[in-house]
Amino acid sequence: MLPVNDCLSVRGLGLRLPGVTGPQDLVRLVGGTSAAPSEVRRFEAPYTDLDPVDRLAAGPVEPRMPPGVAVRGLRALPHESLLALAAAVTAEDAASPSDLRLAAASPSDLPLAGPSPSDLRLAAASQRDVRFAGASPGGAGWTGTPPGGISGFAAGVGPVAVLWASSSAGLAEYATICVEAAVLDPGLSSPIIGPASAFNGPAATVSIRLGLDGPNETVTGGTTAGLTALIEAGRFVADGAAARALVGASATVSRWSLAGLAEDFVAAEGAGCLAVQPWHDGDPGVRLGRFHRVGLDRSRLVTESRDLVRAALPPGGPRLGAPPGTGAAAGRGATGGAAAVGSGPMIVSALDVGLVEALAEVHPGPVWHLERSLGDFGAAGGFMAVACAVAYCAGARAPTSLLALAIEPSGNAAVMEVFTWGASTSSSVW
Amino acid sequence: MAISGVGAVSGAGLGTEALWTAVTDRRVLTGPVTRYDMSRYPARCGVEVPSAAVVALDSVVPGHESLAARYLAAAALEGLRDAGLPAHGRQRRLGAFVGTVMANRPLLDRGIGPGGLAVPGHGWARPDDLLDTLRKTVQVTGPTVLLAPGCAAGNSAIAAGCRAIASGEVDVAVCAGVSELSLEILAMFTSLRALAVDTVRPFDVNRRGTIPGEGAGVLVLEPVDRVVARGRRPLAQVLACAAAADAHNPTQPHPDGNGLVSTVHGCLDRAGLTADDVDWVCAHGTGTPASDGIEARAVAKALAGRRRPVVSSLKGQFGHAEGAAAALEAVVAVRALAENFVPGNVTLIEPDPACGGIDLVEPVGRRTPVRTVLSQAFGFGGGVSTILLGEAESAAG
Repeated sequence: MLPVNDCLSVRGLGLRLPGVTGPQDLVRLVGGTSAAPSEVRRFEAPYTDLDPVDRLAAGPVEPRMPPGVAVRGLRALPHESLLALAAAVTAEDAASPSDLRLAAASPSDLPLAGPSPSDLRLAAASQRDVRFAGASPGGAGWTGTPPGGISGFAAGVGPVAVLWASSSAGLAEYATICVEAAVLDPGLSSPIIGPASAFNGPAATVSIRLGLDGPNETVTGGTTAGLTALIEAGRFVADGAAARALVGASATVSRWSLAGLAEDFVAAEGAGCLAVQPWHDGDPGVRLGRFHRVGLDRSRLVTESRDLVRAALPPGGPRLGAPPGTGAAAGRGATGGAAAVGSGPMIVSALDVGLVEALAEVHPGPVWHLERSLGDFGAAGGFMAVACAVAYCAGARAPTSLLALAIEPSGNAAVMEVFTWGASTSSSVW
Repeated sequence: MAISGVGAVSGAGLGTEALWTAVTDRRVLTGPVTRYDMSRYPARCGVEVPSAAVVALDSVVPGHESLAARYLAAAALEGLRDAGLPAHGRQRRLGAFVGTVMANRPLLDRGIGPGGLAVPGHGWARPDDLLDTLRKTVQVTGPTVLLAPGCAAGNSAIAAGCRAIASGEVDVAVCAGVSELSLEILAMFTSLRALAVDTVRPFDVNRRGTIPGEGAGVLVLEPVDRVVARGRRPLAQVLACAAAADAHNPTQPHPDGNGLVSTVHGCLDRAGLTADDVDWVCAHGTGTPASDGIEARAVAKALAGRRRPVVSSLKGQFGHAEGAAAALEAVVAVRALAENFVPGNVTLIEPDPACGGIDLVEPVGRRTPVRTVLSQAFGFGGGVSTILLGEAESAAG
């Protein structure tokens, strides 16, 4: 088995988030230079004893399905599966080879309506070969997945894995079946809703709609789930079980999901997806680097979280150079100047504001708190932190390196380095 | 990869021994559901962990509103005890890899009443709470991973634990599948017309559907040399794992069983074995008309060799325990390897001619050398996860 640390490169990013039309919007929102749109919305659950709730929430986020996606049956899919599919198609399209893209749509066909198509093209042209297709029809329509077909990212490369993180997928459907079991005669529940009442609707939808027959996994639980999805994708790729992977996370807000979210934050909604493939020596672009997963002692959570961050930072200041065995990378790093891990922001997904503030005392750069900026995504939070780190790296001068960290109240924690080529890194285990 | 311990909570009660005894005694554990009012339902059967066993959990694990959380912790404690490992210790890197289908959502079912839903608490919305009791009873110093890929969950958890050990991330992986009997699932399968009224009969020409169950199964995994260094012998070993997707339909397997065929080939390739090396296929075998036929054809195709593959399903005895099913079947497979006994298709009366490509084990089972077991699982959404287990001798060197 190949080493997993440092094995993945990011080839595309798809986002469906409120106020985000391109990757730099996500950076601005999480960095606090602009505010994510949210409003007080009313949530109800008829035929139950749950009172209506007025709650500050994001969205509702529209899927804005890219053109070219087969529309038959889409209306029967849960909203979260639609968000996931839209983000996955966008990521996949962004990662597809340019010749296929040109074959799919001539430049004159590029729709210019919608937010910032020029920004998206700039990203594709200059951001170290990580391509982004935005949420707008303009961005996604640039490429176009053949209806019912397989995109250039997935075509002919071998099995493509789909890994997804969510704690809200299927919950509203589960509750609907429970309500129907209470108010309808047996057998009259919708046969469509029931199978969608588990957590794996988004991963299944992406696999089925895009024809991806590699490993298909869903991770749930707390905010580390999204990082785990990326780590497991790295392992599938490293041991040859998958040639490439679409890894994403999503959350939707309903009267039901509110019960599982922290009250201190906006109830967040949206989806994100990264198209990843094995990193090869000499590849440009954003990479997912070292990671560490650990069960911290919850009675010493602040202390052990600080230790975790310290361990993720290089001892004695910046470490220069490229990963072992990356001769070309070392050359590029030397000419481009090296960045230290932690020179950029650390992006943290956690529900404890005090804990995040305590981490700022040990991290040399700024600490961005995902939940305070965008809200509580449940199990999708850790993934959104990584997505933001990818967007930051892609928009910054290389080499750049930063940490995405997720810490759950139980002490379950995961940290991952995200960097552009030439940044300081190491394959050693933390 | 050594399997150093196993644990189980099932319709047979607490413990692996109760599970294995039920297998060898050919007990059929499906019966009327007592936990919910099923009087209006056309099919009213399930497999419940016996109420006496639920009471007995009080002496094993802390209380929790979720039965699944307690099943999981009890099975994990048994598995660690079986492996000779303490439940607590910060010196080792222990990870928990848990598979589920619905996590804590069945808590919501308890509010289903005439004319409406009386929503109990909030735990049903927090899947992470499923791990509460495990965290109180077992010190997890490594990652805790909760996988919910559908009914292949147990095998997915075992595979994730294997990957974590192979990469050096953990020393010990507690790999589990867990499920709590759910009225929502009974209601769903009622609307899908997929429930058997009385008995699950996998691969039988008169099979009429499945019956939901519950429980938890645990495999404790470690590197072989770590087990041997403690002066113990592995119980069995995980030879290979493979995963794939049908990419076909949310509820129907691919007609050619593509995902399953892919994972069977993947396991054999990784283990360096051939079709004829597989002594028992522990089938998914849910007893539904469409699925069993597809599975039988896919297994016959994937394991085409000098002999027809030897196949049986445990779901005739234990129902379909969903998130727990594959893990419980893995526990049974470990015992089958140790005891050289292939469990039978206990409820099989008339084999479906469409399943003629496989060698269906007669209800009494077979006493025969068992060196390798292939155990496969799949479910709604099209995810397939298969594991290949081997006997202990080669693991111990």
